Amino acid sequence: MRILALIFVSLLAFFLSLNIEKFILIGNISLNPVIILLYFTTLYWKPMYGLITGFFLGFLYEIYLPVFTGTYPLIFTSVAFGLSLIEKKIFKFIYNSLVLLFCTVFFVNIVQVIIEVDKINSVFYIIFTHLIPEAILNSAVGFVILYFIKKSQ
Amino acid sequence: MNKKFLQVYLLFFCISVSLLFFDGFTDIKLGNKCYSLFSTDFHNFFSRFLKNNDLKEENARLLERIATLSYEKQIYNELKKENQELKEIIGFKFNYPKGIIPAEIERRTLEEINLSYQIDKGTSEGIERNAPVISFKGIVGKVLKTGNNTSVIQTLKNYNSAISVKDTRSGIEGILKWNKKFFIEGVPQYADLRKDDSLVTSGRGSVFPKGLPVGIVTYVNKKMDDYLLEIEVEPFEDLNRIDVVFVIEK
Repeated sequence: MRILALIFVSLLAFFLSLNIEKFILIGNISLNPVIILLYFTTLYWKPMYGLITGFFLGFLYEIYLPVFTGTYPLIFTSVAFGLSLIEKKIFKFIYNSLVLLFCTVFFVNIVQVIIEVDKINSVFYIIFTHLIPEAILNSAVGFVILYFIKKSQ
Repeated sequence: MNKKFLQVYLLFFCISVSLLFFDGFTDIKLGNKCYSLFSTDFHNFFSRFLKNNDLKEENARLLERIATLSYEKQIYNELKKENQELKEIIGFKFNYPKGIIPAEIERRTLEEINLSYQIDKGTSEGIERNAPVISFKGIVGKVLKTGNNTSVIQTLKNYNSAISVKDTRSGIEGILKWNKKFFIEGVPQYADLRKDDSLVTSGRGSVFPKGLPVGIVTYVNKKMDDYLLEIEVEPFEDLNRIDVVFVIEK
């Protein structure tokens, strides 16, 4: 049952990540539901689920992209693996742990930018105008989710 | 670290890395299909909704317009009916011909004086006495006698012929007659009638309807000892050369 719920939520997150820019876009920043799902699945549910979810969502991302490179499965599984490494070493039920979500979103986005943007000057520009605000926004949403997780315990 | 977890990660890692070096899936169409499956065009969805609202407004506007036009049409029909009734009351009737009967000339008199034709249509085809006869170019004459299958046409070239004509330019009216040549009678010297003016029937009398082309003025002269103009006319149609005429039903 839980697996089915995970599949459903994963597909929902994937669907939202494709369409979210069309109806929720603050300036040029938007939510990244896939990363948020990956983060909370790995840290607060089961690292194995996070790993599998990351791989298959990355795979779906690749299918969605016009050129199949295999980058996203690698990034998402690596993120899930990295989070699972530090899962036991942090106090994940305090709000300060959301710094990790900030770093995760920032890491994934900067890898995307490095892949897609050639000029290094543009990367620095995008970091301050796009990546940091987007990481803050995703952390804010993570704060809300963490609040409900804490409340449910 | 769970060993199984590490194995799964390594498996996924290897697959992902191998995909990095695999070039077989470039430009796959599957991507587009999946995109269309998962990606809903919300902008279009909302624009369709908004457009629907616009259409509703336009529909309401058009319905209102139809109602207004229907009402105006009703008024128009009422006025038309009223107009016809008033015309009938004052005895105003349009004298348009009912129809035209084509006929071939079977015989013609040889003499130049009192030229007449015999045509191949008679009362059985609906030809009546005194019906006006025309050709492609203009007026020819009128039906003098009718038989069952033949009729006799009295042409303009007849001493007894007298047709009321009108100048299309100035509206001056006169009587067209024939006496070895066509002339107009009854036009005073002060009248504005010039050479090359076109003449049509004026509609006076009971034979010829209004507006049939007659001929052209060829000569205008002011005599010193007369108060009327001397006017000569050339008919549009050469009456000695025609083979087909049209009888106008009365």
